[in-house]
Amino acid sequence: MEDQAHVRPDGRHLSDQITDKSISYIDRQKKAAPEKPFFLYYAPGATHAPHQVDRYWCDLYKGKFDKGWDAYREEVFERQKKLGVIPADAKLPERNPDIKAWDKLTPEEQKLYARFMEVYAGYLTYTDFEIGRLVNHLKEIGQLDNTLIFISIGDNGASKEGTLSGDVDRALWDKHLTEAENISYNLKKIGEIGTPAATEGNYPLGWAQAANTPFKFWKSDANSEGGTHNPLIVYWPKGIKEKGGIRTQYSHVIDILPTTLDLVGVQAPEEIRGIKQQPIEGTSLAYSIDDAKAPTRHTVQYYYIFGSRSIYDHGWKAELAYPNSFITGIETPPFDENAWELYNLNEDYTERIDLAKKYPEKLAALKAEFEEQAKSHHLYPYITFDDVWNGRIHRSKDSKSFIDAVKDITKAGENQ
Amino acid sequence: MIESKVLNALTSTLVLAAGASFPLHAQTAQPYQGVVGRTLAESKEWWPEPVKAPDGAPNVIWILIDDVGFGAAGTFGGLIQTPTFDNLANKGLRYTNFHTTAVCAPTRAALLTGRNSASVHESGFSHTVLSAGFPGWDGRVPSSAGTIAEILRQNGYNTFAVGKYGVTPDEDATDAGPFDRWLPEKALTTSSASLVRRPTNTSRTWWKIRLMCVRMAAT
Repeated sequence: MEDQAHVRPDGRHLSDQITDKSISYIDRQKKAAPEKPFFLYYAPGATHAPHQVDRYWCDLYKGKFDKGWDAYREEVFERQKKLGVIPADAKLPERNPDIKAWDKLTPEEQKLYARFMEVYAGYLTYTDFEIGRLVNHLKEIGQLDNTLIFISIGDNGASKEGTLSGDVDRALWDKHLTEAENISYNLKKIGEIGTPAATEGNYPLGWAQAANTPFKFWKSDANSEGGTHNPLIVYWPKGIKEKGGIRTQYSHVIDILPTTLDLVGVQAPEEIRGIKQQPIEGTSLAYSIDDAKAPTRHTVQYYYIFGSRSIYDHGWKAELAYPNSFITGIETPPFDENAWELYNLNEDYTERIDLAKKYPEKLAALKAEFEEQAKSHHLYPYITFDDVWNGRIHRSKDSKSFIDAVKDITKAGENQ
Repeated sequence: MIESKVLNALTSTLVLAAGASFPLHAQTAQPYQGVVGRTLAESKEWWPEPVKAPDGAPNVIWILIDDVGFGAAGTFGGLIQTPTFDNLANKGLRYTNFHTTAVCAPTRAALLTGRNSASVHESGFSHTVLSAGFPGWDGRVPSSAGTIAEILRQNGYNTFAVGKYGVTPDEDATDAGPFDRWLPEKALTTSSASLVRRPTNTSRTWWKIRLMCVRMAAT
């Protein structure tokens, strides 16, 4: 979109374009008003599917993932401990159900899946490169030192939309293929992975799980840390004394706004353009910037995505999965509203040991708390993925099926 | 000082305006403090203090990457090289216990407003087939939940967004608007390149539509 009108993409990579636009905006603004600070929200499409990137970046990783996703998980887990970004006593969970051991795959499958990951890795490295262009520019114009940067590496965990055997160009509504058929289809198209022809390009679930190390499960699983736990970087040379520090305080995406206001020195307004404002719900992280040991202030948080849900309270976490076969095609047990699990993240960082049977009262208290949170935040009614796929929401007499509606949106996108 | 203002006002033959009924600028709540007489000689000009950011206020950049797991980037132990992230983290801080909502639009709405996704009507998405007519689910982020940009703009910042937005209702995302849930109305002077989130012009997937906003002019 440009000037509130739709425009056609021009063929350049979006990440390239938005970086250029950012630089141009900053330069123009600083030329007109050098003392006036700016706020920039930089939200690339990367690394959402389709994984498309110049071959140069994918080829940096040629052969680098031939050892497979199990080896990746183990190696990364050790590196995370060494870096101190996970607790020293954390344990790596088993592979998620339905994910095969890498060494049980055929050589053809291994070749195919390794290529998917080479492309994904190239895509992320390229994204980092584009952000590097922006950062370098700020340095060149003397602005970097007094720029406060937050980077949330992910808006959710790794995507599971690539199915068990990856996706090159098959849309959601295309005829269902068996796993074997899909593998053979993808192998024929292995050369297209990462190119513009790969209109749905996404890696297989085994790699998505590896990219979520050390956690279980994936994007949209609001029950699991694999859906919700992302890295955050906070950078501000002029305002943050410690360089390279680690902060372990529990935090959530709603905390970034109040943190920013605190660090900038601005109060949240009572009104904006005459409209009374709802209270800010996040907890500023300013208390932790200069104090690695400060006790966590964000102590309770609910999560809910179309059926899957959890509640965190002072290190305890009660969670309920919403199993579905939509992505894997593998039959799952029906949703059971009583199948809550309970974890103590203080001792079991990766949610391996379900304590629901051991501490039923703790679980009951957390479940009750979840209901309270749901009520107070207007989360009711509990709409599920099943409701979505069966077209039970947002209906009118002219409504189409879920898939037909989705196709319509796609068509509109192409026309614009 | 105040007394002399009052006196001036009283002695004017015509007091056309004084006080709160005439805001001079749409964006300021400051009541008009000048004197409007019949002639210029009987009048006294007044201008509101220009809005300024706090002294030394930093530029702010929020970067939100899409669909990345905790163990992907090298900066947090992954095997994918991210030298820019390394550099920033090594000169800044790594927050290792940070969380998102588990999905795109709820995370974006929560980030931009500092409120939980259900509280800002974004438990699901702003797409037609993923929203429902309930307060927590209609995909219409209300004006009572101002964005970071709305707050910073009224505190002396220029505000700008590039890339994916993802919380404009499908129904509103046509060239006919309405535009009140597009980025400019959320104080993000947007700009941009393409509508679809796809990195090339071959894009075709449903959830990647209408998300890109970029525009050159600043407001």
